[in-house]
Amino acid sequence: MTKNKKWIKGLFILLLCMNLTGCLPTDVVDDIFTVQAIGFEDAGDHKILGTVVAPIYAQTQSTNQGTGAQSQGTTDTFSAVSHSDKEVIEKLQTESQQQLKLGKLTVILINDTLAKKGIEKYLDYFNRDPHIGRNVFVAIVDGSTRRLLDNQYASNPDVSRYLFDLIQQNIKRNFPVTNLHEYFYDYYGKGINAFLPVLKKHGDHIEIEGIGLIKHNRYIGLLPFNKYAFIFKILNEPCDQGTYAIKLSRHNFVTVKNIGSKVKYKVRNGKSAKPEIFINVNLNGIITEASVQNNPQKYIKAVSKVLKKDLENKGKNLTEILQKRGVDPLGLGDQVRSYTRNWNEHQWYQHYPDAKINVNVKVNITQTGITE
Amino acid sequence: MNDHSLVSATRGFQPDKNQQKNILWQKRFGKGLPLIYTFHTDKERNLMMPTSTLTKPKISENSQVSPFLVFFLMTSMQFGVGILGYARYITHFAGYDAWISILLSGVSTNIILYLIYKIIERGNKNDMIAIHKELFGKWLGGLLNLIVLSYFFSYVVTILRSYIEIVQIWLFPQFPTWELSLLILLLVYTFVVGGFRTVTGMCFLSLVYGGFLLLLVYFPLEYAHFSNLLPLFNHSVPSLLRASKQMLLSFLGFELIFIYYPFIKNPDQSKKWAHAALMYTTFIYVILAIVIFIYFSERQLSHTIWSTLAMWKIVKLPIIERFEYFGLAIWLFVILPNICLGVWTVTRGLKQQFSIRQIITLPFILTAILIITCLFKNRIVIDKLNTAVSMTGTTFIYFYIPILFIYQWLFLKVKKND
Amino acid sequence: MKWPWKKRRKKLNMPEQKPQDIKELFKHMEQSDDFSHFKHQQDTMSCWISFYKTICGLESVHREILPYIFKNNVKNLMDIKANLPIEDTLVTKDLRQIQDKMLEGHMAVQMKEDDSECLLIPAPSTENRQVTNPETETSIVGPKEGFVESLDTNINLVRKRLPLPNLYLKETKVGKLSKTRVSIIYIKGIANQENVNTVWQRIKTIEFDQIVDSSTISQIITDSHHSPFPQFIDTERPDRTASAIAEGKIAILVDGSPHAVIVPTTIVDFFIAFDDYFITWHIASFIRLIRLAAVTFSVFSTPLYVAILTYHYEVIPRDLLATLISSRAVIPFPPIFEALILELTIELLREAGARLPTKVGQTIGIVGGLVIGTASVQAGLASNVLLIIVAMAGLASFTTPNYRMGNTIRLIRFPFLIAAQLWGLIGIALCFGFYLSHLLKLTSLGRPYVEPFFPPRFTDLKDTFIRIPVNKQITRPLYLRPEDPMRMNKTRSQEKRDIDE
Repeated sequence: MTKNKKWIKGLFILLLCMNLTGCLPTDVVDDIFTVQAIGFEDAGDHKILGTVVAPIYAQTQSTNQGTGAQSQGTTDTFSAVSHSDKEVIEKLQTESQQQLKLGKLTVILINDTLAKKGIEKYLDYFNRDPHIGRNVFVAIVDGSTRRLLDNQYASNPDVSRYLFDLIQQNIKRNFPVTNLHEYFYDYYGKGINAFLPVLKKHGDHIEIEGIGLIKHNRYIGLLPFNKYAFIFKILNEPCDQGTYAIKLSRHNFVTVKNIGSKVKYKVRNGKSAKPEIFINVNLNGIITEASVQNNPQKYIKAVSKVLKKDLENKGKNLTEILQKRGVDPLGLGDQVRSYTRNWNEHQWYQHYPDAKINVNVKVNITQTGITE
Repeated sequence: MNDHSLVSATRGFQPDKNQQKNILWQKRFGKGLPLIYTFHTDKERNLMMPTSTLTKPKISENSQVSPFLVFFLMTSMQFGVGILGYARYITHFAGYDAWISILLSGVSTNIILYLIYKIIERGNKNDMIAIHKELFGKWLGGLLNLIVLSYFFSYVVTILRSYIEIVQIWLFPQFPTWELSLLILLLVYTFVVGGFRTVTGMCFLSLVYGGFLLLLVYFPLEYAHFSNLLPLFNHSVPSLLRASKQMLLSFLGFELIFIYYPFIKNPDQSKKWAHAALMYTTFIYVILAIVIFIYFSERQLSHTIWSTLAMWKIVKLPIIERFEYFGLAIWLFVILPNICLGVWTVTRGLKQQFSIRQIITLPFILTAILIITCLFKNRIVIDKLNTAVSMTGTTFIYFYIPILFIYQWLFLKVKKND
Repeated sequence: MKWPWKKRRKKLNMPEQKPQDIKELFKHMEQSDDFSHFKHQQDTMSCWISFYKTICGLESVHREILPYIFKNNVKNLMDIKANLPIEDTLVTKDLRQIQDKMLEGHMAVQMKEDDSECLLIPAPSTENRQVTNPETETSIVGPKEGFVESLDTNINLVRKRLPLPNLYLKETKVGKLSKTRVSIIYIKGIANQENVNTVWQRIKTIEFDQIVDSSTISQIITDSHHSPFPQFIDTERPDRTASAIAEGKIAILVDGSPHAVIVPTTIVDFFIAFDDYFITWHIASFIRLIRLAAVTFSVFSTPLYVAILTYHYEVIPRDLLATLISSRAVIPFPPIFEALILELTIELLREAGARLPTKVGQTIGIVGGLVIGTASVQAGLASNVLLIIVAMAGLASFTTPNYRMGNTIRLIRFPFLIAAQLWGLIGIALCFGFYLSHLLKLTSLGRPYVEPFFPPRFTDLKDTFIRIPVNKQITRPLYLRPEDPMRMNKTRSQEKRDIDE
């Protein structure tokens, strides 16, 4: 017993010595640049231009501790041209003062011309690397990613932060849920196509242009945000926020706030050449902004009616566009699969353009705010 | 004369009260129908079962554990590295119906466990080493024991090597295999020298720590697609069965009761806990599988090697993002009982077989594990090791144990009739 | 294996003087100047009186003993004995006994100087500290008595709380030189006899020259000598001692020590302040949970800081990342050195505060905490985030009610720190594993140390982190294997009354 213990102790000492001489490689937070946004764009000649943004945090000012002010960090932007994304990152390392580390990546941007050629090969690296999280936003940029990233914006000097918050707050409202995980869910999913937000730089601001449709890993078109984002969201997933403005008459507008909507799919004749899909949306809303009215009961009824009609029309429009384009970001195929035994993906895509899609919206306006 | 025939029919056990009454009755009124039909309780039936001539093993009470701890010994032994990636393997065959396969595997393990308990009870509550020796003689039995022990040994190696692999991929690609292996094995040493009680303590606490990780299934539910599970029963029975065969590696580990059975206080009471443990494991596997199924799409899952870990990536707590890093560190306590109990079992088995003291074999076993883990260099080889151990385990559980059960029955019957 | 530098020492023999007769004994004693040995001459008789002036109460000698000896009708030792209003007097010829008793404060009376028979009269001085407030285990509500350095006073304090005939006391003398009185107290019929025997046997077999304090005893009879964790709790509160005895534990009291050692104990006992029993159960449970959180925080916070900042930057949320990086930007050291420096500073402050008189100690705390902390952050030697963490960890470690356990918690975080630096989060997990294996193997008087948790005993969990109400605490802790496990009559105490009855 004691002999064994001595043996163990000896080993311990040996181990400690070995480790104190050769530690594991460290990533001390202030000795690395944490890349928070990365953008790829087409540089012509089968090359891509990669741009990364790493915030540089200023040190805490020890002199003005009384105020507790922490000077706003700036960002550092690096760009390099190369053949593949991995090579770009390697090239960027040669420019950087500190090692660039991708572990805190929050936004991946892909330029639209590049996206039209195929997205997956740029994202595969991020799917494979264990250091990348899944709450990462992927977006398509209308225009140059470099110009978008290498810029100071009024709302936040850190562009990656701005981008992340922009997309996140919109997801909470009108934009359908998207991130790296959801992208790959859709990308690998059967009977479902991915979609990504499309961003555009507008001077001092960045704007979400709409929903970018992806077919077979290529970017094929855009659904404008104002027109389709809300209907897309309530058709795609249950949501409890988001606002929608409708026109009652020529000068009479009303804004309805969604306080909880649910969507249910029903499928008939899933295997036939003309599958029938019923999308039933149950929407609870409150009126937040309205012009003066006399009879609230009647008014609510009228608004509900108009809203129902409007949303149903929009839904119809949306599905028609999607069918025409042959993309299925709503995952209708997936819904059909879940209702159909021995469902066949290939067959479904042949039937999809002819599928009959009915959108039913049930509107329930619960209150009109604190005034009537 | 009458007495004699009755007694001879019930040779080997004491005639119970009813039978004594019958004997009296027959003495008085001659041969005929017995007065009272005996409905045997389980206990009596156990008595009537042919039992071996082995003597009951004696273990000091200080190293024995309460029967309900069998629950923890079994579950903690089953949760290992398998649970981090099992979903992918089973969907390969049965798609998203695979949770049914998990249930099937769970049911079948319960049956096997019943057989194991029966074998042990017939062997007069001895461990497998003694039973083998009784059934197959000194040499053949010894050989079989060595095979079984080397299976347990390779099981430990698989678990350890897989864990190290995950750590190397996820946390420290530069972590030398030998170093991490040495560290973990030193830890295992400190546990195993503490004896069976300490190892059981590890098992118990590991389930407590590991149980906390189960709460994390809440986070992926935000991205749940419940329609993934539909339509039910979209796969044929053979494919479901193949998936449940795949599932077995995750269920392995409960057969170790063959060795540690004598260390359980009032082992008869442990039965219900053992079955409860298997049901609990099944339940957890099913719940986890369902969460994984609704979080990943099917093809996405087939590209994800460690689905449970990948799922933790979405966990976001106010002060911790990316929970998988913590999860992996905590996971050490989930695999530790596997290794500790496995190593203990091997040393205990060697002690029973060759009467070498455990304290002497233990360093050698650990060194052997250390060397062997260092020999497996890359993912492909490790995957092969996993498959091999899984195959061996399946064979052991589903072929060997039933055969042993029948053979023992025949053996004891023949012996009795002689 | 023999180490070359560990040469076997020659046995040091004390110059043992065994006096052959009583004359020699007194001669030997007279070499000490405080020994008085004189002849008392009277008409009827003469006698020799001898005692140590310093350990006999001179006042009682003068007032209560000498007058009776000087009485006229006294003729021999028996007369003196009969006349004295003092019990426990003794007439003996045993030299050993005479020597021992005289060293305890007896005075010896002989008829003639070389007479081997002498009368021993107890007259020990009772110089003693007053019973005062406990120093380290203060409480806001509840009794304010603390043990003192006298064994008899201490036993008195315990016994008056448990006026029972079967409160048994066993006394022995331990220590070759100090001959310290050590007694164990337990209740026959509640305390497990096996435990009593074990303690008694361990105390009897102590081989040591000097027992200074009860902690010496607890260090010698402890189960594992290499464990950083204290295995026996010591308390200076008689109420806590009494309630432990009533639970079936055994108290060891040592003369000259204001601490009772309670055996056996579990790890939970060290996180229980006796205050907890004076307040309602919800508040007590809340405070205990806070204490648990504090200990966890105290042990793990700095190692986690080191591990995460050194290896796992991914787990830091991005908002926190900005704070951390900007606070660390100018620090020239890696996180481990930064953490070690600050931890050691805190340890220094603690130690300096403990060694200095109370008033100066407070100043040191303020000076150290404020000046050094602020200055080191301003000088860029330590990051302010870590300063907060370390200070909070220090604060948290003070919530441990037991001083010894507090020391242990101070110590055990350093291996965690080193492991965190070497292997990140995996290192912390490994280090935790080593502690776990140690704790699982540890015993206190042969009873498992981490008892209600492992081996899991659910009835004993009622007084751990959650303390359920007193009237629901029906059983005594079962790990003690008490001979009478019930604290109250269950049926009577749990009687259910109907509404309005």
